[in-house]
Amino acid sequence: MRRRHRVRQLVLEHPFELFVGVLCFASGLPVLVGAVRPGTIIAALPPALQLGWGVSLTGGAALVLAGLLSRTFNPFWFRGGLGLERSGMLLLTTSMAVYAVVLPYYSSLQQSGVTFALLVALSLACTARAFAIKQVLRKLEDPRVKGAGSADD
Amino acid sequence: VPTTDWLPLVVTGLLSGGAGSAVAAIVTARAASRRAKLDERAQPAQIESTFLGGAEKAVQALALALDRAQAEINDLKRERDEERLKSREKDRRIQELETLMSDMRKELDRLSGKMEQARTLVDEVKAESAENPPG
Repeated sequence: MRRRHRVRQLVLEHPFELFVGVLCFASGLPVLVGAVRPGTIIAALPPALQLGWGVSLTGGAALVLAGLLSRTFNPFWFRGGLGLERSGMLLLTTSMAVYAVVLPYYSSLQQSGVTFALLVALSLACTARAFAIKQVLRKLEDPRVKGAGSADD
Repeated sequence: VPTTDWLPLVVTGLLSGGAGSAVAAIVTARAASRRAKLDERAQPAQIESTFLGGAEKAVQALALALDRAQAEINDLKRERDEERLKSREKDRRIQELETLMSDMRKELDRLSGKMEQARTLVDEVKAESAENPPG
């Protein structure tokens, strides 16, 4: 019951992060094992970079999910969870940016304009989230917050 | 589809930049987490002084709040007194004006009476001169 409550809380509080994490993990895993790869990526990048892109996508998503789940189920690991989520968001930013850069070389911007815009928006959203987490972590480091009571302050 | 020469370079740069910042984020978070743990361990030794310091701060905050409340009360009292003073001044001025008006009314009545007398006198002179025309 308590676990269900926490899952519900996670879904309600972080729907964007959860959705993007699950989606990117589900679409990145086949890329990583080489089962499926987007035509754009295959056409524009050499195999090593294709793999790098897959690692970035899947790893980023895995880190985001790990961060979210760890701090949801273990509140004592709040900072660690935030750190994992932030690093995952940075990797996802990279993956989205790479896809957005590569896309116009496969099809013209007129054809792929919407996808391009979505990728840029997702990339920006991931950057914004990473920045927000950084601010939270900085606030947690602030002695006035952290120390509700150290004798010095 | 032709691949441009700079595209792999850009992608490599993006991927390595992203990976670098992600690793840096993890390392920073790990360091922060370790520092937090050390702080938590050090806490029991500090707890008494923290507690006393907190109580002292609470007392200081309360004293400050009391001082502020007292100052505000004094301000309000001063304002009320000033308003009372102003109100008294206004009352006095009204009284003065009323007295002045009353005096003026009396003077007006007196002058009206005199004018009436003068008019009567003029009428009498006119009637007299009509009865006894000159020459």
